[in-house]
Order: sequence, then C-alpha cells, then structure tokens
Amino acid sequence: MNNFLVSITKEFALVKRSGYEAFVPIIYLFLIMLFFSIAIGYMSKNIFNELVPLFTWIACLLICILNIEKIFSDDFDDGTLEILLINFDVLEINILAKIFSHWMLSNFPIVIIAPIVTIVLGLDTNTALVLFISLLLGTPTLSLIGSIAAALTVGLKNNKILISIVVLPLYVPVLIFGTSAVNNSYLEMPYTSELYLLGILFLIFLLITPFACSKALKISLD
Amino acid sequence: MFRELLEKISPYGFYTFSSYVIPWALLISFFLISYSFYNGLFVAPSDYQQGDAYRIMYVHVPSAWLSLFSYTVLFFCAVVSIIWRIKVFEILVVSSAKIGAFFTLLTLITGSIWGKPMWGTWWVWDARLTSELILFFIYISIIILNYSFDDYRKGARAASILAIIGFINIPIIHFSVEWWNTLHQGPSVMKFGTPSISTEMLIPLIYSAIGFTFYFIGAILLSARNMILIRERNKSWVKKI
Repeated sequence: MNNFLVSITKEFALVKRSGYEAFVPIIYLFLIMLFFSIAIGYMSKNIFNELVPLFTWIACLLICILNIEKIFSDDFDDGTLEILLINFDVLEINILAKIFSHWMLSNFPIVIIAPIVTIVLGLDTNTALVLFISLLLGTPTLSLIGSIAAALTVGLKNNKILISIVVLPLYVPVLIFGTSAVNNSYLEMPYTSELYLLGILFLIFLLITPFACSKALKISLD
Repeated sequence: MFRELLEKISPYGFYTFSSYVIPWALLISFFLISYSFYNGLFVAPSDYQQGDAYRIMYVHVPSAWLSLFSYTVLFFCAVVSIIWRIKVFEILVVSSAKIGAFFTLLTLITGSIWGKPMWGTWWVWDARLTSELILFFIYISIIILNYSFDDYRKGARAASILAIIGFINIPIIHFSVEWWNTLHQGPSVMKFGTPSISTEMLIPLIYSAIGFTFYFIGAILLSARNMILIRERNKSWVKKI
C-alpha cells in the first residue's frame, strides 16, 4: 500500500511540473463533439441529441489510446523501468499505480465533464447520470486493457498504430455495455444489468492486468 | 513429466516428425473433402427454402469451426511457449495464427456470398458476423505484433501473451456482441437433441469438417516447417538438407 501511494505521488508530481495535461482530454472531447456535429449537421437535430452520449464514449476510447504508450515509455527511456523490474516484489503495485494515474489524467476529466456537457447539449438528467456511472465503471477497464498493449510494445519505435490495432478489438465489450446502458436509459428501459456487467469487466481486468503487464514487460525488456 | 516430454521436442525432431505426418494429413483431407463435396454438391437434395444456395455450407461451416479451433490450438501453444520457452511451440503460435486468420477470412467471404441471395445484402451487422470479424482483427494483431519485433523469439512470446489475453476476452466479446444484436439463424448442428438438419445433408458436412481439420493440421505443420528452415538456416542439419 505504501509503495502504491509513493508511486502515485511521484506520477502526480511529474504531471504538476509539466502543467496543463489534465485539460487536454476536455479540449479533445469538445473537438470531437464539434467534428461529429459538423459531420452530421444535415440530419435532424433529434438524432444528434440521441447520439451525444455515444460520441462521448467514442471520445473516451480515442483519448485512452492517444497517450497510453506514455504509461511505460517515459520510464523506459530514462531506465527507471529496469530498476523496477529488478526488485520485482513491488512491480505489480507500481504498474497499478501507473495505470491509476493514467486514468486520472486521461479519462477522469471526461467522466466529470461529460454529464455537464451532455445536459447542456440537451440530454435529460437521468440519462446523464447513467452516462456518468457507466463512464466511471467502464473507463478504468479501458486503461487496464490498454496498459497490457503498452507493456508489450514498450521497446518498439513506431508503436502508436500497433497499440491501437492490438487494443481496439479488445475494447468492444466495454463499448457495447456502456453505450447500451446509456441507450436503454434514453429509451426508458432497464439498464442496471449493463452497469453490473461493466463492473464485472472492471474486476476481471483488475485481476488479470498487473500480472500480464509484468510478464509482458519482462519479455519486452529482457 | 510434461516438461521432460516437451523439452525433447527440438526443431530437428519436429522437422522429421512432421515430414511423416504432412503427406498423410493432406492425403486424408483430400479424399474426405472430395467425397463430401461430391455428396454435398450432387447427391444431397436441395433445400425447400434456400434452394441450392445452402450448398456453400460445406465450405462455410468447417472453416467457421476451424477459425475457432485454431484459436484453441494457438492458446495451448502460447501457454506452452510462455511457460517452457520451447522454440517449436513459439513457431507454432505464429503459424496457427496465420492459418486461423486465413480460415476466418474464408468464413467471412463465403458467408457474405451466401448472404447476398438469402438476406439481400453482402454484409449485416449481425452478432455472429461481427464477432467473427473481431476474431479476424485479433488474429491480425497477433501476427503484426509478432513481426514487429527484431528478435523473433521475443516477438513470438509477446504474441503469446496477447493470444492468452485474447483467449480470456473472446467469450466476453462473443457474449457482449450477442447482447448487442442478433439476426443469424440459430445453430443447427451443435444443438442438444436431434440436429435440425436432414441426415443426407449432415453426413457430407461432418466428412467435410473432418477433412478440413486434417487439412488444417497439414497446413500448420507445413508453415511451421518453412519457418523453422528459415530461422535455423545456419545450423548444420539444415545445411545438409
């Protein structure tokens, strides 16, 4: 536990020094909203209102893979990662801390801001609440899955496209359950089972990911 | 026990073993497939609803079955190569991923040829089609990840980890996609009770599935042999051949 707190403090200190990273996802979300609304501008306004929460989900997926390789690549460049691998009893906890801080900086701002944005764009409050809960349960899973791919490709040079090819097929269940919860709430149908399933997915990957990541790091650095 | 057994599998032993297996597997698959195609295409009666278009099933169903079966093979090879680091199984991971991707693509193509007269479109966003497409993407990502490393053993082990993660994920993906949408006709062979397909159509289908499986074994061993010859080209036993 102590190790966990220490490494989280380290990650946040790094972010505080560089400044504005926490605002980047919010700007990105606005940009994606703008682009989608321009692209479907010739359709009726009602369709756009229905699609707003789904755009938020797509934006979360894209933001998550946008800087997922940063989880390990900075530490790989300055050699910290190899030291972490040498004293391996803290490795899994450190990986979890890194994933947590990545989620705090990439998807958590969106989780907070998305219900407000969608209410402003004309969604009813109940659906906005469901969107908030589904994002809160679903986006950590995105970071967890993505970190495995980041660990597998950490030593490679052009790993950005590779990460998105590896990761996006595995994101499908999260996207399906998240969007169908929001859709069902919009159509006033029951939506709790989807939220439970999102929670189960999160727990499964919380169990798998630290060990898969440490194994992958050992392979790509040995 | 397993460990001692598996550590005896050297590339050279695998090469000699596979040169006994490959001709037999290909021969058996040739006879079974031609027998089943003859029976399926000429002897079996045409369907009262689908006419003769259902006959593409004799390619479609076996390749769909193999697209899943080869993922199971891939998973076992991946586990063995992660735990015991045996060269032959690292090569088998890559070759079964390639053959699996080929069969998945074949399933998608024959399915869409069948879907054009039956459903009226080449492609529908139906549950099974979509999960098959996602399976194809997973195969492709395993192959690409393997080839993006300079050191091929590293690449094979990274691909094995991805294969294990994918094996955990594929049931989840399948379930979630079924949750999302389904239009496909229900399973008609692997059903409890009597299958909802007439015996004259079923027997060629079973023969064709077995024949395709033998072809799959032969193809995997052939592609693994090729890769072994390329990678071990500096060893003395390869230079002798």
